[in-house]
Amino acid sequence: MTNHTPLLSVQGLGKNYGPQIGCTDVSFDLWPGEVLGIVGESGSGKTTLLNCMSAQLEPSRGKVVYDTRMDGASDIYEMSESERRLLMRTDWGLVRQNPRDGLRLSVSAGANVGERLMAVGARHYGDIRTVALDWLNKVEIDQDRIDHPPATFSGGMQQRLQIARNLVTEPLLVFMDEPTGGLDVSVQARLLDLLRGLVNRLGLSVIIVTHDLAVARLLAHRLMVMKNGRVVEQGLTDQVLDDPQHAYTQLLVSSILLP
Amino acid sequence: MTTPAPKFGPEMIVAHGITKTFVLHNQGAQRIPVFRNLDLTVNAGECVVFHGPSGAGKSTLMRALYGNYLVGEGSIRVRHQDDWVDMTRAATQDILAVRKHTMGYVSQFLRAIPRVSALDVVAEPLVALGEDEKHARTRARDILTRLRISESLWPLAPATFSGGEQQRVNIARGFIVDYPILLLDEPTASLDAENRKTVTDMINDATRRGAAIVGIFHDEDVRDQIGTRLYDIKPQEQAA
Repeated sequence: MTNHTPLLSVQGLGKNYGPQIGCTDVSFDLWPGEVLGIVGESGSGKTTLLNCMSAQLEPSRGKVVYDTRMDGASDIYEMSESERRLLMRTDWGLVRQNPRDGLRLSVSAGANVGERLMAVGARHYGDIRTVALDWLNKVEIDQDRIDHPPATFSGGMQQRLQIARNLVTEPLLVFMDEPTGGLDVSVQARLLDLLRGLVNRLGLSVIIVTHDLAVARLLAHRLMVMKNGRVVEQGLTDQVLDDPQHAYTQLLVSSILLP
Repeated sequence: MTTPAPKFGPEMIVAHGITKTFVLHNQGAQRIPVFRNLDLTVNAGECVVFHGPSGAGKSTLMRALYGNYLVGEGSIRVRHQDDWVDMTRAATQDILAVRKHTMGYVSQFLRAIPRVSALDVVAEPLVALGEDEKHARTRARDILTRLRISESLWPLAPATFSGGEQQRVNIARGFIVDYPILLLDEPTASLDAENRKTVTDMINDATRRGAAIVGIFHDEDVRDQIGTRLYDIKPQEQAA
């Protein structure tokens, strides 16, 4: 029924660290507007997989094919370094677990958002500032804080700023590594609500790595469950969580503590 | 409640030979058979009520129709726009498209979303269809009013509402879109008489406009008022 091409196609992807397997035999297609959750415990290979897909870590085998605006489907590891950088600046966003890894802490919040715009060619200072203010507003950061460096922000504010920095260039695909990890529950709820709204409104495709199944249920259309570097189960998010088929998924789901 | 009633519309759900067994891998691979080799057809304008004792698999069957549970064997074909989609093997995005446009589901309990207001929880399925947010909220207000949810609750997240209030928010969310197919899992269970009446009226309105409805209702009165047909589900024997 569906007839468009996948935005991202991962084919037989694997990464070894010496004799150790980081992840292996991962294949799937991601469709425009789709949110894919990757869940599994620490050490299951989900961050290795995310790093391989997002051009940060060269895989040992397999392909990552992205549907580029200019040339159509292209293997990202066969592009030149400059093409790959351009892709990461324009079409892609990357939200790291620790916002301090994804922000420049010593420059102002406004500059953190504005410099991504300048990287794609925006030059007019007034326009950039206006867009930056608008994004601070969208991620619920007080506009008075635009000239303050994020080093003075709380963890939750830093994470929201990192999201603004990533989304300001209107990427098509955003990779997120545990975006709500390390935040208080109330701050987490606020961030999740914000992410849900942005994803729905902007029609983003997202690949989100999380060990929190509640986060996955709220955000992801489809889930992949990883164990020992392999995908053991995948499917519609509520089906995987409500009727898990694999022993490991059943264990994960039954281990959730309810408040 | 006699079969077959005269003039129903076209077939909307055609399930054939479906079998469901739960396998609990972490409890000695225990197998729990739920149902075997079931056939079910639901036409437009019909309200089929699942009937059987607790534990017979009524909710499981309904969840299978929605693609929430997998079945071991068989097919569940659903008429979606000008196509048929087999919910047992369709791609994720096709199942999501069926749920967005064609098949609504009112579960027993509302799954509250943190920080989202009752009004937006109800308006959401309409907004997802591309409806203007203002119009969607107006529709949400109308339905919440009809279901007697006090206006003071509309801007609040439903997590703190009473059971009956949450259930009515859930019903409002399921009825804001005129889905061609509606699955209702005990929507009247924790409602008082007045609200139960409203919900049965809403279900009858939906049947009259030609929706194909599948429901689970423990209340015999409700069953008699809305059901056009009973569908018996008998419990399977437990495997030794």
